Amino acid sequence: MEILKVINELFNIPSTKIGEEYIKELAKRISRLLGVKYVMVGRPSPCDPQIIQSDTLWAGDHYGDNFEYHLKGTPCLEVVSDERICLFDRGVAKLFPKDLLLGEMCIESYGGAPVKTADGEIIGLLVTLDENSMKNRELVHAVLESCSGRLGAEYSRMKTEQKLKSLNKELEDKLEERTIELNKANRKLLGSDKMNSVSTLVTGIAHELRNPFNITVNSVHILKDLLSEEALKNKEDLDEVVGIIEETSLRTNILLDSILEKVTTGNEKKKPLGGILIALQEEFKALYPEIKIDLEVSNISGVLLPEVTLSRVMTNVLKNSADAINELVAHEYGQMNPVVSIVALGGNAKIELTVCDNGIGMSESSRNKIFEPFYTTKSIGKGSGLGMYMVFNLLNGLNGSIEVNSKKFEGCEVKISIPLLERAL
Amino acid sequence: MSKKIVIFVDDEPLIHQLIKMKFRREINEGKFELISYYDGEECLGKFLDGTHVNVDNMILFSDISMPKLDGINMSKEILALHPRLDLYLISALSMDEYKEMAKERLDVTFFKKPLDFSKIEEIILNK
Repeated sequence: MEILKVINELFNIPSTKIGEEYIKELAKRISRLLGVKYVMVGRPSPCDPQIIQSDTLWAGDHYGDNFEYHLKGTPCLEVVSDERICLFDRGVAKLFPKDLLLGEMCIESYGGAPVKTADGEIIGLLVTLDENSMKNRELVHAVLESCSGRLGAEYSRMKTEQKLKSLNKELEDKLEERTIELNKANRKLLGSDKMNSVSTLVTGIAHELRNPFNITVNSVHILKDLLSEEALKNKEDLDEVVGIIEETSLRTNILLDSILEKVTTGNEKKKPLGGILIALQEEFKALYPEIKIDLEVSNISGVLLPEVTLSRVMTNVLKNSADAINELVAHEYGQMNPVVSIVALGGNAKIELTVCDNGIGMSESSRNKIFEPFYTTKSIGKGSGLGMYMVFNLLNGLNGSIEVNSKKFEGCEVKISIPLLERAL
Repeated sequence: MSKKIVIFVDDEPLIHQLIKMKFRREINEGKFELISYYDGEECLGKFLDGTHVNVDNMILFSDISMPKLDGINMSKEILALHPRLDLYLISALSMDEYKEMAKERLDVTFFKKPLDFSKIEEIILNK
């Protein structure tokens, strides 16, 4: 009856205590209920199974520091090698003279039990030591037996928990590794110019081609109307529609040429530079009435240049100036005097065209990328990123060159130089 | 009843030229007045400065991608003034893209380019 009561009290440990805490509490209770001074729970060292390392040591009124000892010559060796509970009622220090610790501590009685897993594998031992002889052998045996069983279960649980933790950690590490790999691959993909360029190229070309094609389709519709009308009476309209179709087709062709980097200027009509520039100025005024546009020319009489190519170049540059000004206007709530200036200077061998604006300007990195195809700082649908790329290629076709000087918030200066092949007298 | 007014907003001058040719006879016969604007801001300005007050007999066709003020934002502002205005947007980009944009903000009919002149004619003449 006493045994049941003691065991009941031993295991009445709050369920919040698990693992190491549980073992400590159990050792303390064993000491109190059996009336023994020392209770030790230890496990073989992972390096040498003959060395026992203590996990918990209860020393009468406090927990002692953990320690190590060799099994040789100790009563514990019998516990471990015979895999059974060993009890020495009295005189244990004398029975094991080589176990110096027993003598030093004045130990009289000893109780030891192997701690086993459910599979019967010894994973440690539970030891009670006292300075007095053992009073109730039966009780000690029963307590050691049940407690060692309980400890075995606790150690197994701890081991499983540890395994789960390390497995979890392993999984986390693997996941992190994979994530890093994936991110690397992703960055590679995003950074791959080919991937970006192909889709942007397709969108850009489709968008640029759609407008002239739409006009052609609409023109043909009108043409059909005109042809079905009272037998071609309306000659003027007919000429106009045909003119529009011709113009848009030419536009499409130039666009394709610039994309294919094959700018042919040989068969393009050349016109006086002054006239081309005035037309551009007028067009700009109509499109951007709130922006002042100055035109200054010097020594350009008789200079002939391919009209469509030059117009295309200048339209792109001027449109950028207007966009840059409008961006600054939006930025500064209109507190500025927007102005764009075109200066054309004729020399003996070349023509220099300089376009300046007092718009928002651009950063160094934008300036460096300005001729890259599809590079744009404008919002979607506002810029294809092909404008300055085309300008560069069109000027290449004329053996010309271009230079852009700009700083953020400090306007922009575009200098174009075109070699002069002929000058009409 | 006031005269029918058809407004076209597009930054492409050739489109205006073609529209004028298409409806030359109707315009000459006084069936409606055709007004051209070259961007959203110009058009919106004419609604704000009192040029266009009565919209009962008005039809407005507008391109979407234009400098300064695009067709969608222009329409938003004009419709806030005149919710009953007969307004059509014309898009050169994909239908889905603009339908999506329009769904949230505007209750207008969309046309895809190339503009179907017969359809435009039908809308104008049936007004």
